[in-house]
Amino acid sequence: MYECANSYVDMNDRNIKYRVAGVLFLVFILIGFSGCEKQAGVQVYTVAKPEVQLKLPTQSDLTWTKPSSWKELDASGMRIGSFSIEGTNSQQAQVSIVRLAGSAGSLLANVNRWRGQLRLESMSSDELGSVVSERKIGSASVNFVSLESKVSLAQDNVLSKMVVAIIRKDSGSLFVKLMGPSKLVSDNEVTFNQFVASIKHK
Amino acid sequence: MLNQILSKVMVRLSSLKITVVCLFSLFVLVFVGTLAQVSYGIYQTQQRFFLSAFVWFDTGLGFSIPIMPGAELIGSIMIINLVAAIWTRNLLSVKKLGLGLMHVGMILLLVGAWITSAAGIESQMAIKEGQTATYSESSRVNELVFESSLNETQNKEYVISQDYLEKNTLVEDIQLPFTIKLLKVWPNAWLRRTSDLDNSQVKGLGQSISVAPKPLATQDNELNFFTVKIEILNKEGGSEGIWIVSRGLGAKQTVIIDDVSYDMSIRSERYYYPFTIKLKDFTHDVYPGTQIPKNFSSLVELNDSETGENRDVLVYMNHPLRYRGHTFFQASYGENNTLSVLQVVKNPGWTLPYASCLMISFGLCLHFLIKLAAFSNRQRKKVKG
Repeated sequence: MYECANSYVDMNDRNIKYRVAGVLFLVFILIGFSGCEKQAGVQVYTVAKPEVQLKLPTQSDLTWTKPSSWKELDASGMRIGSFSIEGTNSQQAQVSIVRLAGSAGSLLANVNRWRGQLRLESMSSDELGSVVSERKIGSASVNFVSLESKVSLAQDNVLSKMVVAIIRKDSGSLFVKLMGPSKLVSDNEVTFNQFVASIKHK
Repeated sequence: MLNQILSKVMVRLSSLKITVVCLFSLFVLVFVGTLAQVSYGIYQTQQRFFLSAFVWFDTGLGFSIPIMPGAELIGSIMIINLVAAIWTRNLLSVKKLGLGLMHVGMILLLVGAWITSAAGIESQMAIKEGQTATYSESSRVNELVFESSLNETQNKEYVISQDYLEKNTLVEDIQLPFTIKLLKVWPNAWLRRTSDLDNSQVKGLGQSISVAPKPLATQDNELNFFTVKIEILNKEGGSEGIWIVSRGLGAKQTVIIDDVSYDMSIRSERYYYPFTIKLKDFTHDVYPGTQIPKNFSSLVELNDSETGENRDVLVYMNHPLRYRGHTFFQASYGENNTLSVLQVVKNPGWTLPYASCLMISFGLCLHFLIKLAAFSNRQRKKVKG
């Protein structure tokens, strides 16, 4: 390819200046590009609010029958189903369905986490029997956990209650949780049990 | 004296041996890179082999060693080699102009590749029929975003890129109404809901989530769950709490600082455009009686309030929409043919490979003609002699 591999031409001073300038220019271009960052630091945008709140894909392989008195809310985050129950004096209870892979922690660990939410002391595994009951729904055995707070969580002198149904299957664990003011939750326990029984795979 | 030293250095740099070594290294790199795609996937292979100066090998002892030159280094050496060849062999003189043009063409090709790797951006724009898109999203890179409501119709977004989060430990900016301290960054992570860990100092969803590092995704359809553990400090330096924010968490988490509520989340890196694209209709034709695709096309309405441009464009195979430095190709579709995905490519160096090929072809022809003329001259002299 190269004709005169080992001979080079005379270079006078003027020539050399142009050549050095040319090479330096190329080197600068290359250094410039190698240091290119697509985005740096903080960018601030003013954007239009989204037209529609995008709904996360729900676990479409599950079906359930919603009790008529419950109001369905948008599923968000880890919830695949979410409902609210209106009571008297604008009291409100919430029902959520969360599915997690595997066993999602031991029963004791979960119970103590929920007890923490109700500001109750942690319990030992020997005491678990007092709050957990097991029932058969269809072919699955479901653990029901029922907990009630001893103090008011908000400053309204109303105690809170939580009922959680844990359905364990090979594909993962399903947690159906009802939480709200004690009386409202107790009134809705039968409806809640029927709702849990209605959850089926398509 | 200076001239002599310079000449010697340039002769060394223009050595044909360097050219051969570079070409051979490129050959090996392409071969190894092709095999590496099996385990690393195409994106990671590109980053590790072709968009880096060295290919690094993780020794497993906490440090990496370079095992072979990457395409960036080989390309740079080739450019220096070509420039030195033009210099020492005076290839831009009239007699050797053909060779000179071929060399310049090669340099242009390498520089073009460099510009594409440094400044080229590829992203995807998914639009549902009837909806209008103002941004496209990266399929690989994420960003941390804080959204606050500005007024009834607009949001303000404070965005920090994944690249910046991975390289810094503190995000402080005059535009940002708070400071973010990065406690930990996971490029990809396993998230597990658990109650067995002491996460009481963490606020929000992260309280019941344990995070473990996960190798980067290699397949195109896999997502990296980019996750950060951050502490937010107000302008006075007081802590507003510690959060775990992850691509793996579907929900946004809210933090209130100085009575302003910010929704924070990690999402795909977004590129906003000063124009909008509305999908009017997506068509997916198949050959009659079969499911074999015949044609995909998206009828879009381009609307640019800055330039006043408003027109309908049909985007289909080999007929992308080119607008303001961006090219929109028909890439994919979904949701029962009501969603169209356009691949958006911004490549400021896209004309360089064409220019370089033209220059090399022209150089080859010119060199052939110059040689032919010299040869026929010699023959004529011989005949006369």
